[in-house]
Amino acid sequence: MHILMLAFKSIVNRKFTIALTVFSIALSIMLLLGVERIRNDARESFASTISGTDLIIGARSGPVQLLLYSVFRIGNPTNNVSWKSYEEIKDHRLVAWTIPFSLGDSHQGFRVLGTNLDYFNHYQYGDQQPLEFSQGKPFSTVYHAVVGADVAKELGYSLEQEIVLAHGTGKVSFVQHADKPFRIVGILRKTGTPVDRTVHVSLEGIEAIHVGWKDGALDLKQPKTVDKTSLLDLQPKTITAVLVGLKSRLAVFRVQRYINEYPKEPLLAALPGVALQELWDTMAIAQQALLAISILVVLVGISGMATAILTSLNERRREMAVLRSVGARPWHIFVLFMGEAGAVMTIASVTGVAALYLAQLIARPIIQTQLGLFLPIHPPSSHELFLLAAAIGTGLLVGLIPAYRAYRYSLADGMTIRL
Amino acid sequence: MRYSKITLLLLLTFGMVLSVHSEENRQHGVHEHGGGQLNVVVEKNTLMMDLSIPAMNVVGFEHPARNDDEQKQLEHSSDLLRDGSRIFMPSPSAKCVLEQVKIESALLETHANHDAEEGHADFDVSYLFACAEPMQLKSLTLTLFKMFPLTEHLQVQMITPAGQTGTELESDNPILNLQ
Repeated sequence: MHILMLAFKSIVNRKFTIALTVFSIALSIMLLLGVERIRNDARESFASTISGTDLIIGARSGPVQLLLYSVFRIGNPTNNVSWKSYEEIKDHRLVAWTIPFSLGDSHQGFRVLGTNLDYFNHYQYGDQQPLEFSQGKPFSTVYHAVVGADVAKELGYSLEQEIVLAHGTGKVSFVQHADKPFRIVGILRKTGTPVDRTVHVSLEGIEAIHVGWKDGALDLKQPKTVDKTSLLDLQPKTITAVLVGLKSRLAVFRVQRYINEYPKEPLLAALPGVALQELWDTMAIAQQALLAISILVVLVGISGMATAILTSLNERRREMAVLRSVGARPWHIFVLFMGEAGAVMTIASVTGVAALYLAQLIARPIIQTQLGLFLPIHPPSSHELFLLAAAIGTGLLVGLIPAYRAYRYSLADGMTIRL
Repeated sequence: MRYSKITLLLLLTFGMVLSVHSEENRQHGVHEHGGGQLNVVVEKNTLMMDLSIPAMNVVGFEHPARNDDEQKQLEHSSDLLRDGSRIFMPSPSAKCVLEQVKIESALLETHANHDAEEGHADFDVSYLFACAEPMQLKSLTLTLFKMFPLTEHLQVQMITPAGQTGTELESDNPILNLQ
């Protein structure tokens, strides 16, 4: 017991060097766990965003791109889907439900999604959870809007509030349609998916935003008023993507083939789960590279620790001699050095984990805003604990080198040192 | 007046025929020798698979059989493809029985004027298994790579009770994990 006490006092005596060593190892451990955490949680977050949808249909591009722009609102569509094709898909005998998506506009930096009431009935996230309203109800006319939980919270919106939806996706819109205010009729319960950061309006609502726009600029000669727009024919001509649910899962590949060979328009039907897997396979190499780098950084930190202890060895030969003189055996010296390495690794691990949680707390809202990724804060997983144990184990193993040298020294020197 | 109406009708018909011809289909699916697509669905006690592979992988040529040898080769290969319970081996404890096989290929059509796109031809085969113990259905082992050595890899899309996922099978990795 008292040998640990001695190790501790010895550490306190050299607190500055030790603190720096602990600091560098703590940073490396934070990096290692952080990389692992993002790897696992990002995947889970992506996977839980969409559930229960058999196929996503959009313009022909790649399944990953289609998934990213339609569900995660990352990137841009290559083309739109014509309304006629949408109706033919909707009326296909194997199709149970469809959710049309019309994207491309924004409100204060939040995406505006044009859809229909099927969205509230059929969209599922997580483990087949449906969308729920915390307040209000779905939209029922052109100028109704339903906002996600984050939109309501961050912009301080409440029911019955009037908002202005802008054309385009920029945060600052040059021309806002102050003459076409939308009214918030519903606020959705938090889902932890991009739905929280979306303003939902009807497909007709999206068309209404664009009425009066010609060639990308607002036609000032023909200002349209709210009432007039409501009466105009707001049938959309195109939509961005369609989520499809089928009557039987056995039909998925048949409908996929039907869409992919659709002669009238180049369309693509992708299975969201397969596209997600493809995305992850693509990113696997980058993730493994990151993991390899962070493991190397931990090794650099550990060898830094070994260097620090080894360098201190010479100046501590007197300390060893004094210990020997009061009855310490060489193996006591060995344990002392191992104890030091163990203490450094343990303190560094605890500090590293604490720093990771702190960093996560700070970065979480930023990641959610920028990437729409919801990274939950949870206790260390068994995998993370394994990584920690592996790091500490490696630290102890490397700590054997200075400990063994100290052991040899104390055997050779005894109580007399010739420096 | 009467004639002009008929002329108009004729013109319209003719015009429509013309426009149909101008809407020639110029979309082409991918075709990679050595590759292939496999779709797998597990739903209740049904195990369904769609296999789509280039004829090159199966018979070694992609033109209609030109002589008796090629015809024999074609018949032999399509018999092998039809034998679904040899190509696919679901977990034995799931007790799956092959119920239905449907095979389609431009090479098997008797008419000469088939639609072999750019001289390429595929085999599209669908298999339907009924499994008595679907809960025991844990994996699917493919002997396809051994039976048709020209097939090197298969792009797999699958739907199981656990959800959708995708993977790639290769000759040295012929087992599909269904859980």
